[in-house]
Amino acid sequence: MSRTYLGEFEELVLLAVALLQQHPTGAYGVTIADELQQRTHRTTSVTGVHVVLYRLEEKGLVGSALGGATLVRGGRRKRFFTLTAAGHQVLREMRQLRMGFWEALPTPFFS
Amino acid sequence: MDKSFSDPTPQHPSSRQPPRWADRLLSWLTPPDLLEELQGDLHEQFVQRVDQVGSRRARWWYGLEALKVIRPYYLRRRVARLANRQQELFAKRRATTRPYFTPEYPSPSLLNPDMIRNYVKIAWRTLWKNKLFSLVNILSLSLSMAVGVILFTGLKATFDTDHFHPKLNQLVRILTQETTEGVQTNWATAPLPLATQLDSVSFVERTVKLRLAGKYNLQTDKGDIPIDIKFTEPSFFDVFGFTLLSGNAQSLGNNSSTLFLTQKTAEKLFGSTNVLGHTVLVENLGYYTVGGIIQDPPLETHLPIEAMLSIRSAELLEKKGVISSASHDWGGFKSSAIYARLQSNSNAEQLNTTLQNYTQKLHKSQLQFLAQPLENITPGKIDLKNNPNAGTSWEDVKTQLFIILSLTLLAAFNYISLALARAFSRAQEVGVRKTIGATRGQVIGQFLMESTLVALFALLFTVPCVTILANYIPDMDDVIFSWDIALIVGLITYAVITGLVAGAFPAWLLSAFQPIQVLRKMKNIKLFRGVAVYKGLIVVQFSVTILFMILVVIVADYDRKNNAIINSTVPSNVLTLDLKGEKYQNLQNEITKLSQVETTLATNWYYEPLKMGKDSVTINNKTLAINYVSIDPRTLETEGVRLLAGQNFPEHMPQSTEQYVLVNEAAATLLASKSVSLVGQNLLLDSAFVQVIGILPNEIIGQQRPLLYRYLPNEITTLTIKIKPFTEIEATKAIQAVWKDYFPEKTANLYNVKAYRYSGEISGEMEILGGSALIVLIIAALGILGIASYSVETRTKELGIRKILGANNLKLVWILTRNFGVLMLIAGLIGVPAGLFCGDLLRKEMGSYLDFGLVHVSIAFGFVALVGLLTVLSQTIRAGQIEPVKVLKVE
Repeated sequence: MSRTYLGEFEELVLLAVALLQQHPTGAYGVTIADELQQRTHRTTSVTGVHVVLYRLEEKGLVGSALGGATLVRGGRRKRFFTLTAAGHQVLREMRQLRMGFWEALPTPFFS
Repeated sequence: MDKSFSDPTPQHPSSRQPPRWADRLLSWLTPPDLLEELQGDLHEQFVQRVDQVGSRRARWWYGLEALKVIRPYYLRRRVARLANRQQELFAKRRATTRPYFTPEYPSPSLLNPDMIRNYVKIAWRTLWKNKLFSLVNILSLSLSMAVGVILFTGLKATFDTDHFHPKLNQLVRILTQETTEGVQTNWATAPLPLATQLDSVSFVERTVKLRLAGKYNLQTDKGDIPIDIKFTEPSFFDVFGFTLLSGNAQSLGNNSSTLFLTQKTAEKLFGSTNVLGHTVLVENLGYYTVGGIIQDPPLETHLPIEAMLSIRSAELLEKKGVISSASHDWGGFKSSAIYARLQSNSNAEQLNTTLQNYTQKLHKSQLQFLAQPLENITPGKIDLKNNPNAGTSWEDVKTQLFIILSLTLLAAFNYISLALARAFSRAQEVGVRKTIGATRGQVIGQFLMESTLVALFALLFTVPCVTILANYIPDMDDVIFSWDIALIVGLITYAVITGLVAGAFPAWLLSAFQPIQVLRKMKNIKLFRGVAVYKGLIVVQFSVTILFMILVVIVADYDRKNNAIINSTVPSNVLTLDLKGEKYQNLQNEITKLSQVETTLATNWYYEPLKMGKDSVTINNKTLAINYVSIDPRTLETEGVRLLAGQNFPEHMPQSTEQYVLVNEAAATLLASKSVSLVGQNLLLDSAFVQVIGILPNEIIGQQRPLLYRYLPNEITTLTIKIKPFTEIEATKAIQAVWKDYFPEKTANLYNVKAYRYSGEISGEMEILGGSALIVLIIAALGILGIASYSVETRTKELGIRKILGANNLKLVWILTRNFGVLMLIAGLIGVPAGLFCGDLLRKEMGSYLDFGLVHVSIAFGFVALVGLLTVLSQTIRAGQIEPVKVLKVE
């Protein structure tokens, strides 16, 4: 945990990338924003998501490649993001950390 | 033909397209390398949205989204890109020598934030390390910047003029274009009848009529105080941003005896602003009651107000014939003004067309009218008459900018000379930097950062200094720091520019060093040919100082002599009485009869002109305009002035026609080749011939100008009264009593000549010259201080060796000081002739009493040289304290 600090939104975006890269649509700006919107019911803007993605890329947690131009996009390519090994590692550590906390909590807490 | 067939590409209805403006915005704002994917995503999402919420909301959403690109992250990426491109400009020189270690990454560019932070840090450390140099630099920069800052606040005040009026862009002033015999003159004033016609124009919201009456004396306990009076109507306070502290604007319309005063005027007249209901007598106009106090405007204005009366009062006064009639007379446009507020600022052009219909024909000239937006008054672009308070014109603004720039350059001189003097010690630093891989651009950046920092510190120092100065020097009332963003940005920009100008030359020179040369053998190589530049700069500075000092000494001497002459010639028991345009014969007789009075003279000349006129003089087909004074024929006799040639006015002068005239020496030489031959000749004075009967010596007080002495009883404005010694108080009372009998409506302006006219201590020239000389001297001294200190530091080893070899302390100090002495002498060789030349120009201005004797020149030069050498000595004296062991043990 000492290596990387992730904000909440960053973490969600990273999770969305992890989820969507399995998907046939792939993980790029629009799909990620849609996924987040569906799950969190927050208004998410594509530009904001992009900023987070670029930051994650700078931190080395995701990698990216261009491709998949379509007509609705006016022939513009998408930037597909994929999780890197480091990204995997960070997510796993996050999950462990959270799980640790939840397990330490007494059971009546849930009711 | 159906369109959908002709075009194979699928047609999106325009509503399915994102808005064009948003797309364009996006492509401007987004970093180019990210544009494709981002725009693509947005388009894709837009199409989804159109299906979900309809095209209108989708388009709206798309626009918002495009705007969201303005976030710090994208901006930073843009800046980084800019910086990269800029780095290409300062491409790394292909090294002929291999750097000590090869950097793995290309060195960061100049605009990189980290690098800038680093520049600031290093600059701060360098400045801190060389505290003396930094202090000298900051002090001398702040001194010369002070003048720049003063001018700068002036400039800002100019541009802020009148910006306190509400709806400023809807206000216009009516100008009059008078064409007389083909000659066109523009006046800032307009005839009042025009205002009534303007009121009927649909897009004119409101008009203000203003009569400019000029100065009238208000009688107070302290005597007469001349106050500028304007007549106006209540709408004045609606249209303009002037506000009333107390009283009601309407009373100006209802009551013709109402007087409004500004805060400042009320303070001047009564010493308080709580004076509603006070009654004052305005000379010639009558009694008025204070009905309101006007708040002093927060900014400069082209329409300064002291006191305002009702325009109805002006009409009453016109009927009485006290003031000229202008209310219903188109010809009286020179003393009245019209302002108007339009419905919107776009009406100004329209008004100009409308005004063409009102063109008036007077019997000799034609009047046309124009509307001038209030904003265009200051700084003014067109040449206007009757526009006394418009302040600085564009031309002046340009001149001031030029002065600010040249001052900046002057301030930069010291910095340059000091930086060059220290070039040797900085050379090593440059060498090391370059070896590690710094580009030339980065080295330049480093040096510029240093100079900019110095300039900013100087600014921090200057502003409080100027504020303090402004409080002490009465003439600097107009230097007001009205702090706002524009001023702060302006001042900082000025400081940064100063810093960049000062740093440019040293940075350019120093950054050119080759590391291999400077690091190998520092002492032996010739770093650059221009090291002598700083000597040149010292010489320039000191010659300018010497120039000023010579002028100061000469003018001071002139002042001293002048005072001595005044003391010996002007008697202390003479009073002057201002006649205020009244007939004086009876008054004079009455006063002469008073027991305390010796003699009275009705004259406009008393050792120097009290009031002058100007007339054309023709002799031998030569026409000149010469000043004249009106003089009592008995003056010369009474005062014992001896004529150079000819004779005095005869005992009984004809009252009606002028027959004789006296001239002074200066006028005589101007009019005739051999001045004595002028006596007895006839001159054509204006349109009548008069005979020159005598020649007087030149004035011994004040300026020397050619002068005619005439006897024109109607032009006499002053009575000089010589009283018996030690009776001044009684005499004053008695004379005032007599005056009261004759002219009960006016107060007597009675002064002691000597106390009133000659008590000023320092003349204006002296103040300006002395001030400039002081500033230049301090700047020059600070500059030489730094360089002297440096020259001691660099030569410590040499001096140590000399000391071991047996040189005594005196010798060491002499060695160091000698060079500076030579520089002083060279400065003297340039400065003295320049001073004499400028003095000669000054002599034309002030008359021939300026004395350019050797004594004065040497006093001035000696003083400057002494200050310079003492400054140098304060540093070089340290050479005597050098201990060879300490300075030589290293190495």
